[in-house]
Amino acid sequence: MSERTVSENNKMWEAAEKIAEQVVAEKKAESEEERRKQKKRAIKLVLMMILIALIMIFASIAWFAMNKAVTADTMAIEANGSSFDIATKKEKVSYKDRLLEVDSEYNEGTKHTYNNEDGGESDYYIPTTSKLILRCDANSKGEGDKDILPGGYGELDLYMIAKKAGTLNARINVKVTGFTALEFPVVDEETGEQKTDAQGNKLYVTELKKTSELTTEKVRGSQLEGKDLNVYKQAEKYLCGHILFFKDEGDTSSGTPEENRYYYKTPAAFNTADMSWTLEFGKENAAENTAYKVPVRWMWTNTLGQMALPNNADDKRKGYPVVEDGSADHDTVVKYLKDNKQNIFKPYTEAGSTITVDNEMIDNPTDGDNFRKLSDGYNYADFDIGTCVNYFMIEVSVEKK
Amino acid sequence: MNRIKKIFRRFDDLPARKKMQLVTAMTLTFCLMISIPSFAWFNEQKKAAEMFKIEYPNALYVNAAHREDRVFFDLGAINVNANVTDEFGNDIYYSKSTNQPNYHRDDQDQIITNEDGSPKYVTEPELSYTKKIDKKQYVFSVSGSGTRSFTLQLAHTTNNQFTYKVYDATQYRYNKGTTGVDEAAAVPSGANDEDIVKYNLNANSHTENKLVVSGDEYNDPTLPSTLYYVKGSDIEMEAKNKKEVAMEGASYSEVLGKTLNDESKEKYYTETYAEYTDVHKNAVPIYWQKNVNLRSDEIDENNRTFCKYYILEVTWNTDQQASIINKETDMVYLSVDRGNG
Repeated sequence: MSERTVSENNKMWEAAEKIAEQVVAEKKAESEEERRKQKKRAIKLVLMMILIALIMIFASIAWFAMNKAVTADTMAIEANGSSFDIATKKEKVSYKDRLLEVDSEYNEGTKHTYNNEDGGESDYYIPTTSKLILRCDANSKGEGDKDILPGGYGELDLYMIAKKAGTLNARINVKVTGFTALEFPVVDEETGEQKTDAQGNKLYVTELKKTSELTTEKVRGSQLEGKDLNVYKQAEKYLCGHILFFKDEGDTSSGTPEENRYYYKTPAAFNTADMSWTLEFGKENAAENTAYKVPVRWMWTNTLGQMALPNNADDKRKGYPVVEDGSADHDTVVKYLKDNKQNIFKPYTEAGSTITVDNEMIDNPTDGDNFRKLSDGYNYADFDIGTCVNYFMIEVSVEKK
Repeated sequence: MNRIKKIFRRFDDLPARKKMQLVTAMTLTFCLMISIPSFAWFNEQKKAAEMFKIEYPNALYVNAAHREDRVFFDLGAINVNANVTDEFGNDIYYSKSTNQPNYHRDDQDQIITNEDGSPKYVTEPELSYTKKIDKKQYVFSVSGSGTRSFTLQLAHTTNNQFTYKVYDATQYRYNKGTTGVDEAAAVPSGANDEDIVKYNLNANSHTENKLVVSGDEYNDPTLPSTLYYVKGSDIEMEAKNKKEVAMEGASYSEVLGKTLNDESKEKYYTETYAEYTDVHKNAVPIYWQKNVNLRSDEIDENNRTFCKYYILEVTWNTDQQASIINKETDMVYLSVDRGNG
């Protein structure tokens, strides 16, 4: 080993120190870069969080908006639109399961207390989504799950609730949809034979299908097999043609002489293209949180004479007229019969020739021969409705104007 | 976690421009996703619906035989002193030894007929006798659709000493012994002659009831002009206005004799006449009812129609009636009421 001088040693130490310093500096730089990177990540994370928070807020606004439980002072919702809600008031719901079977978005709504139009307050059901199942109308034969026959009528239990004071205008569109209950046999899996009840009646399960959308494929195995589906589809059109909608109540009070009584006023406007009805609803100076009855009245007229005959001079009419004799409403109904005769009267065969109702017959219903043909055509259509369509839904859409 | 790290790493590896583009695109997509449902809601359309069930047309009809118009269900006048006649309207002479119609027969044992084809009878009083009729039978139908049950109601006054009973009936196209026809369409050979009711169809007689019952259509061109109805079993109607306890299980004659007692004050009498007691007892109708539950095989499965035939049989005691000089009129009502089915 050679000996080193002190200075040599010192130099070496210095060099070593320098190297050490360099290493430390490098390390320092490295960790600083690391820290910067971490900062960057943190910023990104925060940015992402903000973005997510924003999305969450947006999403929850949308959710709040869908849920009618939001209070009126929240955000921009009030300004933008929730100025009304729809509601129903009575207790009983008929054929709820059947309705949900064909449209599961419908719901019975939740109970809220609102002011009545004529004072006081009551519980109303408002929809949890925008589709509400209406309660049964006490006047309609539909209450208590009773079945509807020609002659059935009612008033929908529909209200509009003003969320803020001001004018409440809406366009009410009403549509009737027919459903056919397809009966599929209940088959015993072991024997392969159809099951029967204690009385020996064959058992079936029923499934609702829109009558207008029946296909042979869907009816396989049911009682529709081999039947002309056009008869069914036309029957649904007859149903839409036979149920008329009105806005106002007529006069059937006991104080009015029999011959002057009638059921309704102000027929709704009929849209031939989609067979729907339109009514206008308007309420000026509507008060906040107050429920206003939306008048929608319907009637499946029992006999044609109630609609077509200008008066009951010949005593041919059974029951009161649908609208007042000699009124503009009567002209509207007669025009409706003429415009939609193919969906009101069924052509039928008599003594080898086909009888199809024409405008001339509708214009001269008091003529005995015409009256019989009109009535028969109308009644045959009713019979087809009864045999081909098992359920119908009255669907109302309320659109703020 | 590794996957998320990978995504982040891939995101880190992207050039700054691409990163910005990606973030912008994603943000916009989110905004769209949120705004579409919100805007749909802002459109302010709300729907309400109500579901109704349509009652199957459950028409019910009471008609004459073969669902002909009610006017053809004609009870007409009943001559209680008339003799039993054959289908040509001639009195039938019965053999005193066999109690069978005593026909004139030739050497070959063939029945000798008159010019109109009616059989000749042996009329000598020591060999034959004639019979007074003791009953009349009328066919009616109950038909309908969409129902599994109905209540058949019969009400009649009791001025005459008549007994009214309703029997099930089966319709046949041909009389018994008709050859060359579907056996099932002819009256069974075992049927008692007295239980066969002949019905001549009328023209233009289906204006009330237009139900289509499969196997029994009235516009069937192969339909003969005469149909035959064979009496089945008594449907055993229940008298509704019999005295509640005392009359339980009473026979027809007991009901006839006792229910019209004013003192009984039974339910239906009181409902009809209240406290008014001065009603002639034979003018108070007796109400009979029978709930008929249709069997599955009686209902046409396709259009849910059915048609049931009945025979209303009016009987009387020939000895008793012969002594009655006064002619009386009775009112008979038949009605059907829809059951709950």
